[in-house]
Amino acid sequence: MNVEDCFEAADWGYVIEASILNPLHDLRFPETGKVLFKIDTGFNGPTLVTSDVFEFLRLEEIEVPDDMRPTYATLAGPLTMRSAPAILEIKKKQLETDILSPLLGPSRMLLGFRMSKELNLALLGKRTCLVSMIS
Amino acid sequence: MSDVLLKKVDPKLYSRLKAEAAARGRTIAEAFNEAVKVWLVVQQRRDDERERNVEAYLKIKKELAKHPQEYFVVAKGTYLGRFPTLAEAFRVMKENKTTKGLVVRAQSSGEWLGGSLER
Repeated sequence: MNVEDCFEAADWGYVIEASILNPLHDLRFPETGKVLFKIDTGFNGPTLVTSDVFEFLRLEEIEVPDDMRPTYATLAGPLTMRSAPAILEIKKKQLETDILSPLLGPSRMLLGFRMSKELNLALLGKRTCLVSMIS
Repeated sequence: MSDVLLKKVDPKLYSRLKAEAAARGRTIAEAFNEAVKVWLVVQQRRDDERERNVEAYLKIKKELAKHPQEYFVVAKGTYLGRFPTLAEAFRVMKENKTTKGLVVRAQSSGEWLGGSLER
């Protein structure tokens, strides 16, 4: 196993640097550099963002209709999400993803299990590392 | 006419509005009224288009479950097709000169427990 890139954990958990692309509108968040996403193994969905990021990327213009909005069971009850497809970019890897943002209430930037399982991630002490497998 | 006090107006936008209005011999109130009218028309057009898209989507909704890995695209009130990748779905939208529509893929709901909810 080769360790390629590592990201220092924040006080609030394991994180990874990534950006989101909306190729339809040629938009990227953040416009330069990357932003930290928390690696959340308790969230089995794809990518969650705050509502201002959802709007910045103009995802409301291609979001799924009301009856297709996914609902997530939380400790505080069901949470309905807005959802639109986009590209998640981590290092040079691009992954198709659904970008979610709660219809109501606060949100945060995090990657759920549906995305983390697409990556070779290792939690090494206080670091999240992208690794490659040596066969 | 109503007298309205607006808080938290972006000072740069306000300065531009004031300058543009003055350059055209209009009052700020006249420019503001005109801008709001345009904004409301744009919103109405967006709503109308989305409504037509949803109507078209409802006609093909049953197909989603048969092709869970594909993106279904509806735009301008028309079903444009289903595509294996997001890149192809967006390409077809661009070919149809639209940047608004429904890009739908069957997706399941799930759970979000512990961790990130606590902070």
